Amino acid sequence: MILASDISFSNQGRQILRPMTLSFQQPEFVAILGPNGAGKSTLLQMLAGLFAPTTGSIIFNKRPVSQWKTTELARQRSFLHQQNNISGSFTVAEILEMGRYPYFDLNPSAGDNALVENSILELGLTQKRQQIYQTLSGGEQQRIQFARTLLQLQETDRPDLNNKVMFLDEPLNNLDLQYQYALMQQAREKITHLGGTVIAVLHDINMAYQFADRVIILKNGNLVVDDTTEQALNPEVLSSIFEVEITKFRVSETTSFFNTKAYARDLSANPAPVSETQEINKK
Amino acid sequence: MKNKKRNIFFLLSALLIAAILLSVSLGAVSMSVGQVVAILLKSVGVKSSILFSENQENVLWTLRLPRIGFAVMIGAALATSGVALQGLFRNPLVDSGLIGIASGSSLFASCFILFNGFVPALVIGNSQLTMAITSFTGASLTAFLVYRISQYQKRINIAVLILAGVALNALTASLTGLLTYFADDSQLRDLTFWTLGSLAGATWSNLAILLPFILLPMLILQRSAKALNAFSLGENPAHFLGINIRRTKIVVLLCSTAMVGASVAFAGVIAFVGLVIPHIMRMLVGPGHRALLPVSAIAGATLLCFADLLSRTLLPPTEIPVGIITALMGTPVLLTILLKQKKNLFS
Repeated sequence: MILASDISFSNQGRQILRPMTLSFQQPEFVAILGPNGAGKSTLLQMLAGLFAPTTGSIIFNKRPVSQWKTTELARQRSFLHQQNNISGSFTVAEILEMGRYPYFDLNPSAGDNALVENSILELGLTQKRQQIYQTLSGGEQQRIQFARTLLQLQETDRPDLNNKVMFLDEPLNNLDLQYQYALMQQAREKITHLGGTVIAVLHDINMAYQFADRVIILKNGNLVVDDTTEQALNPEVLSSIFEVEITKFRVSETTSFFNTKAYARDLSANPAPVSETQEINKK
Repeated sequence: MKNKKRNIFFLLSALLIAAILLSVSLGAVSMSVGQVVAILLKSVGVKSSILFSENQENVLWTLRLPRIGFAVMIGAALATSGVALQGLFRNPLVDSGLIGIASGSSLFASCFILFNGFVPALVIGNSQLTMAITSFTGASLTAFLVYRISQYQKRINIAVLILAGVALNALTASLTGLLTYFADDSQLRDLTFWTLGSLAGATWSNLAILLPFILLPMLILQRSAKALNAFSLGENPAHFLGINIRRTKIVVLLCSTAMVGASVAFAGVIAFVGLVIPHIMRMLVGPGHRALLPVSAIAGATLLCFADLLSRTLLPPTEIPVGIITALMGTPVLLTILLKQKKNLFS
């Protein structure tokens, strides 16, 4: 549903992304990984149509992105940012209603309101619907932003999300483990299970391993890996890309996870140092 | 929630009507509301038993009504432009006076007074209309200038914005000062009037020119309420929500400057209405622009009506320029905003 052919991006003479060709199907959960400065966010924003590629073209649902009207495109794809600093004390309900902006002109329709109400209910925020957004915890704020981004994709007359894409730009930053897991779970259940596509820039290899169908890895603006998750997340390739030794640990027949060797403390070779205070306490 | 906003809307409307009625009847020539009604009825050919003098009739028609019209329109315009600019720049401190738009507009107006004879090309036949257009041009130029100065990598740096406003205010003040050296007595009186702000220049014909400059932008801005809300998420998130960022910026800047420019052309610089009213209204109805814009317009009209009433009646027979009164009322509010929101104003 998205076909990006030979896209590259340069800014003020500096090449940020070298020519690459990517395509995205529906439904699909694609994770974009890579070291800092690889151009992940730039690629994501460009695919979402924030700016045009310097060379190449992006076809979105059979039409070049440049030919889509801003509002029309907004009904097809939404974008979740890593941080949301909102000015003004909007309530939870008002923030969620913004997700429906592409669908109404002056006032929300009954259908729009019903979707917003449903979203409040699912978030379990019925009591807090009139609460000021900024007074909620970071985890709750990000859940609300995810719900707003999801509302932007929903149609009032059908439950599926065919031809719809959600872009996530490092959505797990500043979230504790419980919320990180819940957000990824929701992206799977509420988007890809309903026929939509998720394209997410992630930092955590294990999250990508657990949730993505396909993994794209960038380094220094180059596309280095584009493969199914199982094929793409090869410990040797990852080690050379991230320049740190990464090992795949098998927990059981069906589960395994990635970690860097540096994290695993070898107690026999390098015993944990006894701190000075402990020494003093002994005396 | 919806009901609360509606109640506030009706309450403010009632206050505005009270302000208008008070303004009509109080002043050097006082008249009762009954007499006012009788005079108005006479004009449509209905006779009533209430007696009134010819003087009262004249004062009402030629002085008081157009002046109240001015207060209502300009008060609404200043408050609305304040809401819109604050939404666009994502900061509650932005006001046409503070960031130099009003003084840029007043500088152009002053130049127009002084060099009237030298710019025949500008004269469209109606000198008041030309004045409004000149003033609007000045407002637009300064708005564009502060906007470009404060923009860095697609973001507005609010500290730079405020400082650019300080710089432009200083520049226009010194240039206006320079102009006063070359002005003759009558021009000098006009110039002073601009720098202090006054509604004494109200006439029906001026009001007729003012109306489109204010009503049209107001209607357009009301249609931009959704876009202004989305802007509070930031420019990129607003883009992803389907808002045309470029168009919104141009529309909001043009509408605000048209309203401020026209107001300055006829009434000089009236400070703080655009800062104080949106701030108070945001506390009452929240930051959503759908409710905030109309409510602020009504409150701004009410405030300026009362302020003008004070300016006419506090020290009779002299008039205190209304800009002085609004500044006296506005400064404490500005300081309160600063004290309460120290933490996150410049982030």
